[in-house]
This record gives sequence, structure tokens and C-alpha cells, in this order.
Amino acid sequence: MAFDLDTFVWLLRNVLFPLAVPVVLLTGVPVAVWLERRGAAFMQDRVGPNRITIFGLRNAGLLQPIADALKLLIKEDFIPARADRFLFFLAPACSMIPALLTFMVIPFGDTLAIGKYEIPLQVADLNAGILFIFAVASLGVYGVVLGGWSPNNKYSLLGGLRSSAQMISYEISMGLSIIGVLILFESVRLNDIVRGQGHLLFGFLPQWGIVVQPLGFLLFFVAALAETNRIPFDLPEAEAEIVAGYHLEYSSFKFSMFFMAEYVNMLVVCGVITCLFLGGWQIPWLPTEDLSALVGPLATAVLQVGVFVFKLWFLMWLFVWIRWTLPRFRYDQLMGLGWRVMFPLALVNLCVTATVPFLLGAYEKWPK
Amino acid sequence: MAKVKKVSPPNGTRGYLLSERIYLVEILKGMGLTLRHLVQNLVTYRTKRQTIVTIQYPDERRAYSSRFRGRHRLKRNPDGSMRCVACKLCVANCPSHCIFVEAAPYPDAGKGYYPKRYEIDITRCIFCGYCVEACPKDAIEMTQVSELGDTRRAIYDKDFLLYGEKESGS
Repeated sequence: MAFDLDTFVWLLRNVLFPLAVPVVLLTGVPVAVWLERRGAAFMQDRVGPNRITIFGLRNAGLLQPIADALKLLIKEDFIPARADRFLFFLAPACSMIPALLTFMVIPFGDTLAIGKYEIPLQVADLNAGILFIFAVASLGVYGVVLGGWSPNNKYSLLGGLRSSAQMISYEISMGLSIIGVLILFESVRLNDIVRGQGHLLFGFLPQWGIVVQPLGFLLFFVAALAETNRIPFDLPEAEAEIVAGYHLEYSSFKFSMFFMAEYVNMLVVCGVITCLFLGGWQIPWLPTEDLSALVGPLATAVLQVGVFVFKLWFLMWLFVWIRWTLPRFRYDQLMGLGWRVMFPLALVNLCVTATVPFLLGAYEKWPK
Repeated sequence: MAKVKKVSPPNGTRGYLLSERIYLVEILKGMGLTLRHLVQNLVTYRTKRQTIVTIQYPDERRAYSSRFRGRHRLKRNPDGSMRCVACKLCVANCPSHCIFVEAAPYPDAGKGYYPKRYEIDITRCIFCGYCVEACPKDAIEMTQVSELGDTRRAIYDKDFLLYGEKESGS
């Protein structure tokens, strides 16, 4: 087979993207850890990790997470005596794989049209994108449950129980809070939702999800914090009470799998929030056509991916910021917030969002 | 779920305002506080007005008091001979019995005694400084050296205790 442009585009879409996206995502993990540790330090009047040098360069501690990961990999892989060995092996994979899979449907740029080729800047443009994300993300609970159950340790079990109860409770408000967005943009395909956010509201306001669904954004954001087990919802790990929760008995590579899955999950959730509420790759007031005419298609793609990455990391920073500001909820407070505040609010949001477009449509059709 | 009892505020204090009970405003206030610290620390980092309180230990050190009791040092006379006359008062005074002294007379008759062996078991020493106080000849002192980590030497012998003139704090 001759290596022509067709083959190249095919390879790009079917081999390079599926391989590169998880790699880039995993590269984001050390950066996220760095952001977290340095951010925490500077908020607490400390310096944070800054000792790792490479060729004598201080690099502000950027390589510390890599050193930590290398350290973890060469540590002893300990398996408790009475552990269920099969499930013990399965659990880290169960949390890692869904975390990586969910990012596959997130678009990080508009379809790139060069000549006769159209390259979607996305691994898989599923027509049920957001449903796929929710379905696969729910599988992540299995990793937590199995990780809590298999090592035969009471603290692990407690952590696993708490975590699964929490994740299942907040998944409901999470699911309900996005239905408003789905109603307004009339699609569950993520690319359609992002395109829908390119329009302007009243001629000047970008029609982002956060503008048309502020309550939905707040609910989704809080639920996302809970789903990723971040402070103030980090009861599954509650160091002071149950030591480390579901990954207590894990060491070495398996622990780093859990750890990385946690951060990948955060990146994915930030990506989803970006797509649903912050306009995805949309640059405000600059639709793809105008930008393409201005700087050409390739530069447009680069700019859009850059904007997407910027939004994603801004949310990531928000996660870190919140983590180092708030204390942890008590367990009954957590459940109270989830079921008695978030759930009714999500329902109210859904009802209002469903009613208003209907009434507006009826008003327009009203004979005058 | 257990029913949560409503707790009335203690006498003399007000209850929570609505703005406090819906969290969001208070959360934003808290985030403002952390952001202020972050920005302040970022701006003043490595300047004279640095607000970060970390002392980056091997590079920077906290100043110790001049009376700090660190590793022992045996002093010498101006002519280079040891000041210690092996009277063993430090041995008698040591509450943790970590000093061992073996006395021997100088070869020249009438010049007195010197410690043939003078050893301090640093793993037992509690750094009380009684040996310094007990010494009638002011022959032992405690330096500012506090980093005693070592893989080999747990018992300091005479040569080691005499060494380290430069490390003296006084």
C-alpha cells in the first residue's frame, strides 16, 4: 500500500488519536499533582516541593511527581495475606480504564477541514456522547467497591462503602443537572452541544451552558467534586478516620493506578464541564468560520484546542483551590446535602428548564 | 439516616444568618482568603518582603542561641596540649553515664595526668551540659553542631572530640 495522504489521515484518525489522547491525559496527571502541591503550599505560606533537579535545573518542582511515580514503581508490591487476589488485581484496572475511556468522546476542537479531508478533533464522535460518559464513569465505582472489599481490611471496607454510597447518591443529581443543558441544546452528542454554545444570546452574550443554566452548572460542579472524591467530599479517603479508605492496602504500581485514576477522573470531569457549560473549544465571539477566514484552518484548530485546554485547566485549578480552602463534610451532612438539597434543586432546575422553552415556543405560535 | 437535632446557639451568640446557612457566600469568602495568600506569596516569593515562612533547611538555617548545646568538643591549651587532666568529674556528673575516661600520667614526671582514652557514647548522651559545668579546667565545651547523623560513629573518641576547632560556637 502506497503511503499517500489518505493513509496518513486514516492513520491519524484511527491510530494516532486513540493512542495519543490517553498518553496526553496521563501526562496531565503529574502536572495536576504539581499544581495541587505547589498551589497548596503557596496558599499555606509554604514553598512546596522544589528539590528535584534535572541537569542542575530547579524547574520549580515540576518533576517531583515523576520522581514520586518512579519511587512508587520500584516499591514492594504487597498483597495482604487474606486478600481476594483476583479482585485485588482487578480493582485498580477497574478504576483506571473507565477514567481513560471517558475522555475518548470529549471533543477538543472543531472538525478540522483541510482540502477534502475532515478530521474531527475527537477520538470518537458518538451520537450518545454524554450518555457514554455517564455509563462508563459509573463503572469506576466498581474499582472503589472491589478495592475496598478485596483486601479484607475493615478500613478499606468502610472507605469503599462510603465511597460507593457517595458516588451513587451524587450521580443522581449529576445526571439530573445536565438534562437542562440537553434540553436547551437538543442533543446528547457532545460536539452538537459545544456547537450550540457558539451562538450569541441577545446578540452579545456567548450562549454558554453556564449562562443559560447557572444552577445546573453549580449542581453539576458540586456533584463532580463529590464524584471525584475531592474535598469537601473526600470521605472515602478521610485520612484522620479511616486512614486512606479503599486503597489503604494497595502499594507500588497498584496504588499509583488508583492515584492516577483519581487525577484522570478529575481531568475528565473538568473536560465534561468545559464541554457542557463553558463552551468547550468555542472562543467567545469568534466562530470557527470567521477564525478560519482570519488565520487559516490549522491555526484555528490549534487555537481552539488551546482554549479548550485552558478552560479545562482553569477548572482543574478551581478544584485545587476549593480543596485547600474547605474542610471535610461529616457523613450525615454529605448525605443530607446530596439528597435533601442537590436532588430537589436539580429537579426544580429540570422542571423550570423544561417549562420555559415550551412556554416560549407556545408564545411564538400564539395567534396575534 | 439519623435525625439531626437542631442545636440552638449558645447564650450570648447569634444564630447563623441565611447567607451563612446556604454556604455559598461563606465558601467564596474562604476562597478569597486562600487566593489572597496565594497571590501575596507568589508576588513576594524570593523578594525581600517574602511572606512564605518556610526555612529551606539545608540551604537556609535558623540561628541557634549562643547557649545551644550541640556536639561536645575537647579544648586545647595554647601550646596544643589537651586541657583535660582526666579528673573524671564529668564522668561522675554525667546522668546518663555516657562518658568513659582512662587516665594516664604524662611521660615527664610531675606534669600530671592526661586522658589516654576519652569517649562519649553519643547515643546515650542527653545533651544536658553537666560535663561542661563539672569541668574544673574548662576543658570540654558544647558546640553549635546539631547534625549528628552518621552511619559509623556512635562513640566519639578523643581524636574526634579534639577535632573540629572551626565548628565551635564560642
